[in-house]
Amino acid sequence: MLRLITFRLAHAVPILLIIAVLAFLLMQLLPGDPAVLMAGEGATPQAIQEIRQRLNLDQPLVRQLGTWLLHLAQGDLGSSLQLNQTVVSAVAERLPVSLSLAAISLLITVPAGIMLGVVAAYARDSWLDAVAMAVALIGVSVPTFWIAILSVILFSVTLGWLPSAGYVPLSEGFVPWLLALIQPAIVLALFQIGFLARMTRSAMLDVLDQDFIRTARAKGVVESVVLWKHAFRNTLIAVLTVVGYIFSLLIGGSVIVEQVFALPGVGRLVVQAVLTRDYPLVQGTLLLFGFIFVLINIATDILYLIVDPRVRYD
Amino acid sequence: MSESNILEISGLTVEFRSGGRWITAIRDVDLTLAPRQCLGIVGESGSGKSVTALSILRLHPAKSTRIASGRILYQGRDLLAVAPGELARIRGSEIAMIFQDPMSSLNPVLTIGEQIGETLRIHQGLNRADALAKAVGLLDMVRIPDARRRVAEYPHRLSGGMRQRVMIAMAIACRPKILIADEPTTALDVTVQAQILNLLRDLREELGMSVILISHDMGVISEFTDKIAVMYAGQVVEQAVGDGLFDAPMHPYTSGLLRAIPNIDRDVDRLATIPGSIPDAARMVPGCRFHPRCPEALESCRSEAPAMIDLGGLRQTRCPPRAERQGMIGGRS
Repeated sequence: MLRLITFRLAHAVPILLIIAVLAFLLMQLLPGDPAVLMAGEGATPQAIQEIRQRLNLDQPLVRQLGTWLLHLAQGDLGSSLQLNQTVVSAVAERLPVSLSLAAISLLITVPAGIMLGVVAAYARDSWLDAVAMAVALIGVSVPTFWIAILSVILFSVTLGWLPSAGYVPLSEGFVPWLLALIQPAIVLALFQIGFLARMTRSAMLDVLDQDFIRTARAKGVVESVVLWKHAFRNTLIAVLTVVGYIFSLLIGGSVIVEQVFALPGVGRLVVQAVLTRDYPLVQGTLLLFGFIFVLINIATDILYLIVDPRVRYD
Repeated sequence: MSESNILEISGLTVEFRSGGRWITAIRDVDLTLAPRQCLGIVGESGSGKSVTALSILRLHPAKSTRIASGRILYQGRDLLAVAPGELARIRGSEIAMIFQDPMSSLNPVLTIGEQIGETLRIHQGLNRADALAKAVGLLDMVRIPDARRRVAEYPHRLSGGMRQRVMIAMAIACRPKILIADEPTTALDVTVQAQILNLLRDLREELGMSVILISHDMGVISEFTDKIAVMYAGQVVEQAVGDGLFDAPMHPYTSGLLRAIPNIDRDVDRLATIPGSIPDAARMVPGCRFHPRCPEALESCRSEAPAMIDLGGLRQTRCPPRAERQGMIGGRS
C-alpha cells in the first residue's frame, strides 16, 4: 500500500512539471508583444521596456523557461502588474477564502447528495425517487448566479437573516465566519448536490442488483444495514471519484458565487487578473488550480486503496 | 399433509412483472420437507426451481415479483404472512440459503470473517471479537485450511470452491433447521462439485438439518437426496421418495431427463436430448405443459390441464396416461 502511494506521488511530478510549462507558455501564446499588451494603451516605450525586462521577455525562450522553473522551485512567481504585491502573496491572501467556501460547501454537498441518491435508489420508481431526482435535476439545471441573486433577495434583503456580501476571516470567530460563508456555500452546493445525488443513485442501482445483496438479506440483515453497509460501501469508489471532482470544481468554479457575494477569494482574483491583463497573476492562479487538481486526484486514489480491498492488492 | 413436516409449501403461485403484465412463473407448487430430509428439486433452466426456493425466504426482487397465492408453513407459521422483522429473524438463523454463483454472492469489500460473523452478531448477539473467533471455527468446519489466516481475507483472494465453502460456513453459522442450496455446484469444477456436495451431506448429518437441494443434474440429485420433485414449466410434474423415480419414472419429462444423462460406459454418436424447449411463461400452452415435447402425448393432453395424481407410496405425477397405464391411480390430490 505504501508502495502504491509512493508510486502515485512520483507519478504526479511530471504532471506538475507539464502544468508549470503550460503556465509559462501562456505568456508566449499571446498574440503580438505581451509587454505592449500588458502595458495597455498609450504606454510610453520606456514603460513597455520596463515590463519586458521585468518579465525576462527579452531573453531567449529556453532561458526564460529555465528562469521561470528555477523561480518556481524557489516559490517565486513574480509580481502582479496591478496589485503591487507578489503573485504568491496575492494568491495566499485569497486562498483561505476560497478554501473555506469550498470546504463548507463540500460538507453540505456530501451528506445531502449521498442521502438523496441512496434514498432515491432504494425507493426506485416510487414517488420518493421522483421527488429526489426532481430536486437533483433542479439543482443541476438552474444557473448558480440566478439562485445566488434570489437567495440574497430572500435571506439577506427580505428576511435579513444573513449578510449579503463580504467575508469575515476565521480568526475573528467561528460564528461570524460561518455566517458570512453559509449562504454562498449553500448556493454553490445546490448544483453539486444534484450532480452527486444522480451519480450515487446510479451506482447504488447497480450494486443493489448484485447477488451479494441477496446473500445479505438471506442472512437476516435488516434493510437499513443492507443499504448502508452492504450496498453503499460498494459504491464508494464511484462516489469518491465524484466527490474529488466536485471539490476541484468548487475551488475553481466559485468565480460566480464569489462575484455575487463579494468574497475576496481566488475566483474573483482570476477574473480581476484576466480583465486587467495581469498575466503573471493569471499564470499563478492557473498553476494553483492545476496543482490543487493533481493533489485532489492523488488524495482520491489513496482513498480508493482504503475503501476497496480489490484495488489494494492489485 | 402430515404434522411431522418441518416445511410445507402448498398451492404456491408466483408471478413476475414483465412489460407491465404479470406472468405466472410457478403455479400451484406443493412440496413438503420432513426433519433431516434432503429434498431434491430437479428440472431444466426456467422450470421454476429457483423461484420456488427463493419464495421460502421471500428473497425475490420485491418490485417485480408477487406471490399470487399459496402458503409456506414453517413450524405452523405462514412465512408468506410473517412481518418483515420476524422474517429477518428467521432468515439466516432457522432457515439459511446458499446460492448458485459463489463468485458474486459474497460482498467484495467485507472480509469473509466479517461476513460470517455478521450472521452470528445479528442472531446470537455476539460481539465482533467473539463472532470472529467463532467464524474461524466455522471455516474449520467447512474444511478451509489455515482458517485463522483466511478469516481476515477478502473474497476475491479465494477460489470458487473456497467461496462456496465460505457461503456454507455463513449459512450454518447459527445451526439452521433448514438449509436451501440453490444449484450450489453449478458454477464449480466437477472435482470441486463432489467435495462441496459431500461437505453438505456431512454437515447435514452433523447438524441434523433438513436440506432442499436444487439442481438440474439428475446424477447429483440421485446421489444426495432422499425425496425428489421434478419441475417443468413452473409446475411440479412428478414426486417420489427414494430411488423409485429412477427405476420407473412416472412422467415422460422425467424419462427424458434420465435419458439425457450421458453414460460414460456407452459410446454414442449423439447425446440424447428432449427436443424443443420450455414454453414461454407469457404464452403458456393449453393442456399439459409438456405435451408439445412429449413423445407419448395423446389428444386429451392438448386440452386438459392435468392435476397432480396421487399414486400412493408418496408418489405423485401430473401425467394421467402414464398413471392409467400403470393402473396405479389412487385418487386425485
